[in-house]
Amino acid sequence: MTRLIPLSFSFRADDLSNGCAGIPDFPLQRKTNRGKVRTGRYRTMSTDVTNAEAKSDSEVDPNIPEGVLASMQAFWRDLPEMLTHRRWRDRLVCYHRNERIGIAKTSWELLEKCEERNLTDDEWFIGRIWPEGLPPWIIEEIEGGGHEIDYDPEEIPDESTGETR
Amino acid sequence: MTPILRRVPFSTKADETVVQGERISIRPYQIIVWISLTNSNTKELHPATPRFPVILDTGHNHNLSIHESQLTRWTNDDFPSPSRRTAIRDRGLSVALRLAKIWLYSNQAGYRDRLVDRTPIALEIPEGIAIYPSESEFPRLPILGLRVLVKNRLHLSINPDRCDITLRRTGWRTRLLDWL
Repeated sequence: MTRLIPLSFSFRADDLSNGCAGIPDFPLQRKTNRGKVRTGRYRTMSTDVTNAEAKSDSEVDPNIPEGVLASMQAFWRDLPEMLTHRRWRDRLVCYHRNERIGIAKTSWELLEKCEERNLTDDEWFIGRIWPEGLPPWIIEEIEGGGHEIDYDPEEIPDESTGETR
Repeated sequence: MTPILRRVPFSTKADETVVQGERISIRPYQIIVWISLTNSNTKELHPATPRFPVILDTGHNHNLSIHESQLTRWTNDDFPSPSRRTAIRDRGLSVALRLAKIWLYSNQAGYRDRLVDRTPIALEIPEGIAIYPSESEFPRLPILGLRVLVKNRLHLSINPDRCDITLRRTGWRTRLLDWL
């Protein structure tokens, strides 16, 4: 059985200055069945393009309440550290300003914790422990997809016979 | 591990399906899956929650895009909670984000619109869903994007011989396929 062992990681200063804390790849050692040790990198989403986009298009969402924004910033600050815990990867995490309320698999577990503390909707943020490329307070430009083609390619008439294919 | 979606066929010809008595046309090569939408704090899905088809489109780079009118027609819940990031932008249009939970239905193998009698899978999307305003004609049908699949660790495979797709959770089978 192959085992993946996280070793260490480091940030480059320019990653942090990009405003989106370039999430590093995780150097790994891979122990093969034959006892050889191979080094590799834990596959994460590349942040290169999104870093560039963040620089050119960093439109801050003006409608985010102040409490949510503070919680987002705390999440973004802690994300690189949280990503080093393999057990937490992909989990959801909730912040109330600088305080980490909890980490869970489902959002309702975290929402219950917010309710227990009587937090209003504009005081918390739930994010995913995931190598995001863009800070959550930036308005993202998306590509909607769904470019529909109306004709049926099977119904194009054959010019020689006039029959459909 | 049983796939979530098992050999869901897609047609190479124009087709249609019915949602709550409404006929919906499906274009060739569109992958259709069935979902329900609820508020994000829903723990268990009520069996009477309406379900509706969405286009599975890996070219769509958000979670789920749905038109305001579709949300009114095909869901029971209100979605009052704005998502934390309150809006996105698509072709210059500001599109509101709302917190919601997607419930993805499993199908009977080989059938697109026959769903199995099993609790659907809850897909967590803390970023929210995109709700297109009434002044937009997009989308004709709701669109499920690549982000929701990736962030929920789902493996999509397309079989061009049978013209169908399979969707699995990460498990030994997907790891094995990855090694081959």
